This record gives sequence, structure tokens and C-alpha cells, in this order.
Amino acid sequence: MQNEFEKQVQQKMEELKLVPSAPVWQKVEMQIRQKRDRRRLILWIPLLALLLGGGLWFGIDQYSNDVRNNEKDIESTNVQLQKKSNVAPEQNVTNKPNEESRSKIELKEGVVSQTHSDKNITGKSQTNTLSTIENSYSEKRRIEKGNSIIKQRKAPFENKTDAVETKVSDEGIDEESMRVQQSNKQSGTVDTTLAFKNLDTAATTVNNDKVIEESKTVPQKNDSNVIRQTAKKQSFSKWKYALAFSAGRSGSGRLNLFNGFFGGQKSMDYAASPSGGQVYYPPSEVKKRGSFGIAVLAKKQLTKRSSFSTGLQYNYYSSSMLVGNRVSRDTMLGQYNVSQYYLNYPTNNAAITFESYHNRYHFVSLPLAIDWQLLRKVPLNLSTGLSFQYLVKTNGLMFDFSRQAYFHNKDAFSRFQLFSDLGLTYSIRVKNTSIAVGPGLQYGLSRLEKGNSNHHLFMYGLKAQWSFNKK
Amino acid sequence: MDQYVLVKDCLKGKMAAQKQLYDLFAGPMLSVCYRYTKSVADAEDVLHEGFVKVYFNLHQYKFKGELGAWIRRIMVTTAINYLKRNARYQSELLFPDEHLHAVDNEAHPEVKMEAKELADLIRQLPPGYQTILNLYAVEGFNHVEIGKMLGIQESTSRSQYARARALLIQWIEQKDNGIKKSVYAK
Repeated sequence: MQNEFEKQVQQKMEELKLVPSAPVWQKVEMQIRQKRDRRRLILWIPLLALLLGGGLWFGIDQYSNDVRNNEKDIESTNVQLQKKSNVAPEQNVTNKPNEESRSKIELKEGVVSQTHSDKNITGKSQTNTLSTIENSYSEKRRIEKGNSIIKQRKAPFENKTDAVETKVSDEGIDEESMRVQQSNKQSGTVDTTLAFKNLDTAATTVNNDKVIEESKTVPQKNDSNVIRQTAKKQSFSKWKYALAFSAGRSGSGRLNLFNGFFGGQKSMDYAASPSGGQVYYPPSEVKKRGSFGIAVLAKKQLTKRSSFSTGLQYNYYSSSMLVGNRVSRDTMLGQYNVSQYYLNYPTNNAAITFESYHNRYHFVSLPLAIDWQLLRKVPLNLSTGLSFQYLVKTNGLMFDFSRQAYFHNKDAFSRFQLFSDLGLTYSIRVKNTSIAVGPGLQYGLSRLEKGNSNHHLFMYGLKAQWSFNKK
Repeated sequence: MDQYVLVKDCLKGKMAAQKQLYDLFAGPMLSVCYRYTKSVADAEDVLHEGFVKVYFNLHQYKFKGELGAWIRRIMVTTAINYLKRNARYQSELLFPDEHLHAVDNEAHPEVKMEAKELADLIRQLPPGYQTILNLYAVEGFNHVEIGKMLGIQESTSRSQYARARALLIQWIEQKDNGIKKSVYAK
């Protein structure tokens, strides 16, 4: 219970008015801004996830569309082939010289001249000269496969001559057959179905060469389409395998893109007080050390310019700092039981001796990444992704502010960490494999340590990926 | 500006509002920090750290009670943590026996001196005495609360306060009588 004296003291203290100096607000403002910048950075995480998700969705959608189109193309090709093979008997019939018609075949040094004349048809006669037909057996086989009409038409000549000249004399041609003839001439191709239909009723002139050419190209085109599309389908559906390596420098601190690149641990945790000659011992500055990673990845092409990869990865990060005298004693630091710690200030018994300590962190992780080829003709890829990492082993030290001492306790670290990955690689193709090399950056989105500490692991350096097709 | 609007604007990240909040409370809060520390620079360090905490935890303020009282509580807690983790204060917070003083709790003079003079006298007390006297006499915490805050027994807090009070009264009387202080001063 307060009495009169306490009331007087309280009253007097309420009257006390002081004005802080300007730098106090500047320091406060700087820290608020840093926090806000960090929040902005965190806002990028959903954006990155959205980008990844969008990319995946787009890729999968594109892939399924490709497959669907392939199937449709194959179906339509089959239908076309079937139609043409159905037409063949018709042509067979029409192409046979009529009993009443006269057919004359002239052989002239490898050139066959054929004349058709129809008794029933009077009037116009047409003579067409067919151009040379390539008489290779492979083509014939293709033609045979693709179009039975041509097979039948070519059959009488293929063993005799290199070129065929067909002369058709028509005695009387109806308007329809003339129209067909004209349209054939104009287009340079023949609607064989219609042409053969007309042949049933009237004589018509057919440019056999063009028919043959078309019949050559139809199956060729279809074949190549099928082959290309099948290859494309296979390339999209196949998983490629890859080995990835990365090496560089790592440390713990805060990635601050707005005020300098990497903030050290020393930066703004607790400012050392310069007051009155009294000494306050802040934690040592964390220095960057070597880091590397190795991964076995499975890669899937999503679109022509994007691919998705995942796998298993091992990461090693390290950093160094100066620590003071080591004290071996079971004690509680914060909420952690420790058997030894490093004092960062001199004691009555001993002067302080600093020595370097290396923090080592071993992680196993599951990376998820999407590679985008930035330019159509240049194999420059932007790689973005996330990796879920598990802290397997560490000897890392933490700083206890109340005791101004470093200590190690594995439980003080967050075992599960989420890292963001960013990289830019240039690919070189070597036989069936490709090698991609470029700079990379990893930043731990989760806090390295539990509690209020705001330290994040980061790593930057070179990354390389060796991809090869599954055999 | 209404404090509700001010807090909401601060939460929206408006720098003008944050500066306004600082201007409104920085003076009184520096006085609080000043009483717990030994120098103005230390007081400003605590003020800086405390205000950063205020801004980062403002979303936790639910408008129950005065905003000033909430900020003041943060400042006091920050000051105690500052003393705890600071080596030069830490040793003194252990209340060594040689610093204990004779107690006469009944008699006390009327406090006529200026606020700044009294604050400076309090700041010259050993850190342990200074902290407990501030917490009990000025902030109004009871000894159970003080014990929990400082990690000491309630009885220790009670006895330490009695001695701190006696020493302060002694100094006030000596100052009133123009006698130079003869006891512990850091």
C-alpha cells in the first residue's frame, strides 16, 4: 500500500518532462521501414506460388490440348485414308477401258502413250501429256499404302517405263466433266473422288502426274504429321532426369533488397550503446562461408518453353563468427539446457579471447521448380521455385542476449524450412544431354531459429544442371 | 486526432500517423526510461527499442484502457529487459548485501525538490533499488508482480524496496539540509 511519500514521488515523476533527441526517431523510422520492406518481400511469396501454380496449370493444359489435337489429327488422317481406299474400287471400274472404248498404248523409248476414245461420247478430245514419274520403289510402296487408286493406275506402267504419256480421246464430254477438268487445271490438284465419279459417265482428262503427285504427298504429309506429332507427344510425356549442382557463399541474416543487399546478423538486433564509456557486447558479425548443393531431379517438359522439375536435394550451408571464452558448465540459457557456451565479454577471472567458429547446416530437401525459356531462340532459362528443407544436422550457435553468450542447442533451430530459389541458366546441348549453367540465389523464407530471432539462411553462387533423356 | 483513428492509421502503415504517435508519447516515455537507466543515452536506447516494439505490436492493442498506459507498460518491460541483458546493470541487479542500508520506514520528509532533481536522485540509487523503487512507488506494481518481473522472491522485493526508500529519504533530507550525500552513488 502506497503512503504519502510514494504519492509525492509519483506526482513528482509525472511532472518530469524530457524531450528525446532527433536520432531516436530516425532509428525507429528506419526499423519500421525495414519491417515494412520485409512484409513487401513476403507479399512476393504468394505471387511466386501463383506464378508456379499458373505455370503448372498452363503447362498441363497445353500438354493435354496437344495430346487431344494429336488424337484428332490421327483420327482425321485415318478417316481420309479410309475414304480414299473406299474410293479405289470405283476408280478401278472407271479406269478400266470400256468395252466400247478403244485404248491405244504407244510405246516410244520408255514413253507410253495412251489414248482413250469413247464411242458414245462425241465431240471434244483431249490430249494430256503426263510428266515424268519418278519410278522409285520406295515411293511406290508409300503410294500403295496411301492410295490404292494410284497403285492401280501406276501398275501397268511401272515395270515398263520411266515416264508415261497418256492420251485420252473423248468423243463427247458433258459439261460437268469439263468443269471438273478446268477446275483441276486451275487448282493443279485433282479431286479424285469427283473425277472418278465423272469417269463413270463421261470421259475426262486426268492429269495423272498431278494425281500421282498428290497421292504421293498425301500419305507423306500424313505420315510426317503423325511422326512429328508422335515425337512431340513422346517428348512432352517423357520425364527427363537431371543432376544438379550448386556452389557459392552462404550466411545467415536478412535479405534486404531495399537497403543494401544482405544485412548481417549484427545489423539491427540490438544497437550497441555508446553511452558513458560503459561497454555493451553485441553479438559478433556473421560472415559468409562456402556452401554447396547436389540434387537428383526429374524434369518434365510442360510446353515448348517451360518445364517442371522435382527431386531430392542435399544442401550444405555454413557461416562463421567470432566467439569469446568457452565455459563448460550445465546451465539454462533462455529455455534451453546447455552444457557449454561462449561468453562474449571479459570476466573477472579471464580476459576475453576471440576465436572463429564455423556454423554448419545440413539440409535434405524437396525442390519444386519451373524453368522458363525467356527467348524463343536463345536457351536462356529463368528458374523459379520453392524447396521444402529439413535440417538434418547442425552445430550452429545462437546468441542469448540476457547472458551475452553463444550456445548450441539443436532444438533452438526450426527443423523445417521453406526456401525460395531463383536462377538464370544458359543451356548447351551435347548429344542427347543438355548442360545448363548460371547464377542462382536461395533464400530461407522461414526463420532459422525459433523465437523472436529473425535470421534467415541464404546462399548465392553458381548452379549447374546436367539433363539427359530416360533410356 | 482521435487516438482510435491514429492507431488505425499507424496499423495501415501511414508514416505520418506513426510520427504523430511518436511525438505524442516520446516525451513522457523518455521520462519513464530515464528513471530506470543511468544515462540519457541509455534512456534513449530503451525508448528506441520500446517504440519499435510499440509499432510492431500495435495490432495487439484492443482499445481497452489508455493507449498511453499500454505504451508505458511496454517501455517499463523494455527497460527491465535492457537492464537484465546489460552486463553493467546485471551484476547490480543481484542486490549484493554490502549495498543494503538501514531502514526507517515511518518518517519521511516532504518532497519539495524539482521533478528532475528527484529523478536524478533515484537514478543514483543502486540499479536494483532504483528498479524496485520505480516499479513500486511510481508505476504502482505490488511486490508479487515485481518479484515475477525481476525473477526474485516477493520478500526480497519488499525488503529491497524498504532499503531503497530509506536511502532515498536520507538523500532527500541531506539535500534539503545542504549536506553532501555520504552513501552509495554509482
